[in-house]
Amino acid sequence: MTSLLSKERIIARPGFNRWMVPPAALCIHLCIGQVYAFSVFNLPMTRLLGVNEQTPADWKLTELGWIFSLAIVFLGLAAALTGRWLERVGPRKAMFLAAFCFGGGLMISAIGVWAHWLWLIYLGYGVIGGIGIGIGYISPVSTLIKWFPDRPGMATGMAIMGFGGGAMIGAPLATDLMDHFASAQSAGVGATFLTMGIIYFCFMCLGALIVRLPPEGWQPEGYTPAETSSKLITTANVDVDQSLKTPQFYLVWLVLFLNVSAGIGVLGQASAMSQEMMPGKIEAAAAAGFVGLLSVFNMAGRFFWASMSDYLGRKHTYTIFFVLGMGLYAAVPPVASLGNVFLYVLCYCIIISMYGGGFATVPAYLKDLFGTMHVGAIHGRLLTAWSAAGVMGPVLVNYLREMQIEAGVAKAQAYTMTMYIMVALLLIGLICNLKIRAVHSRHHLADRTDEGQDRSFDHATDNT
Amino acid sequence: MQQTTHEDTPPTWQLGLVWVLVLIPLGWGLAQTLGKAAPLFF
Repeated sequence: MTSLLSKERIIARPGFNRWMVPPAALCIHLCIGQVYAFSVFNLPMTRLLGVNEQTPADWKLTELGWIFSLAIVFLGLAAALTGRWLERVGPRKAMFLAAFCFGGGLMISAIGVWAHWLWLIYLGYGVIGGIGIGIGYISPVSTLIKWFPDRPGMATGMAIMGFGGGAMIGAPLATDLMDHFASAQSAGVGATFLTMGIIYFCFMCLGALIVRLPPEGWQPEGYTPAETSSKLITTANVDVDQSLKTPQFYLVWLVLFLNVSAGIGVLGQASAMSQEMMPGKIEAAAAAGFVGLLSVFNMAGRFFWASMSDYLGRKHTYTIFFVLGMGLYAAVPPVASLGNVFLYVLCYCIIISMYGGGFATVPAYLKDLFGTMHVGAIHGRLLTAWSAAGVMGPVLVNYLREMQIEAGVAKAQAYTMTMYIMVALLLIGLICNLKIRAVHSRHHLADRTDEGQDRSFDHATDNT
Repeated sequence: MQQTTHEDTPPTWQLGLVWVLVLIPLGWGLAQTLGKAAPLFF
């Protein structure tokens, strides 16, 4: 078993088709993306004892909210702390561990539901499952960058697109399974957790089995690294600990944090916000559709923008996110007051596509700045920006809305100030992005470069 | 190029199979989600 998981064993033979690797990454990300659909379990879990109605002994929504929060916190911690280990042991061992943690976390939660022990669900899904999500999220990233030195944005975008798609699969799957297992005595939550745990474990193991690493010095057939390298794209490598001593790490951290903060607040409140900003135009059923449409654009944006960044350059791509984002956020209040549903939905769909694009483009940005060798570990540490934004974004949107309503502003206009605050956040993000320069050579590892497989890209045009 | 692997290279048909395996659930999820979005415009 140890040798099956070893890094040496998964080095590909000559002739291995690199297009086998993105589906391996998708197997992982399509599963762990289920975390964003966890809310579908909340209401059924408030009536596990009463089944049809909540009893005093049933869990409360506020208690259940901690399951998701714990998973996000442990996701960030695991990604930050296991990155270096992942680079050492290779993607297969990490993917197997992620499968055990995520699948196992769901199975442990099933026992928690049957025994009605909330602490076991906190431990199962929140802690163990969260660790599985964190390890799974970063496990295929550096492998994909090594297989696709000519299109690193597209390759990582494809995997991270899977994380967006995971919620689209997880929500209807959970709903269908709960309907299937529901009976007069049970809401079917425990059996659903167990079934999903088994399905996700098998699917993630499939990804771990098909993943391969390229041999050292491997390059795609016909690929010729560009003669003149862009200033931002390095052929050297920076150690993960050393990267924390560079201003670039913190600037990229802020770029991700601000881009995610602006989007995540909207995503969390999309249903209520659309109904309140467009009263009489968007009702409850249409608002649910609006949320679904945003998740489609969140997923598609990850692939589209990350792929585009291979042509535009990472810095230019983020500049587009911030400039276009500012324009669109500023346009939302007047568009809402016009009552034009199509334009309103279009604005938000583009905004959310850039939110997803921000996640998917950042691994390639890190690769450009810090090299391939420790990109997975550095990416793991950068994901703390996601956890921080996950707290700040929704708090900002909710708090500002409450403040406006308390000040006597009509609900339809209560989000106007929020939109302008988002514009300000994006402006700060734009400045941070424009401040990013190439990492100074004193931070580079002395004797290691990417040995040809990791030079500048033909189509990357960052020039700062 | 080095040949250091202990595992066989998967045959080409497996490439198609794994893509189908990941695209089926993705397509299903997409169809479910777009189905819900219909009331927004119709």
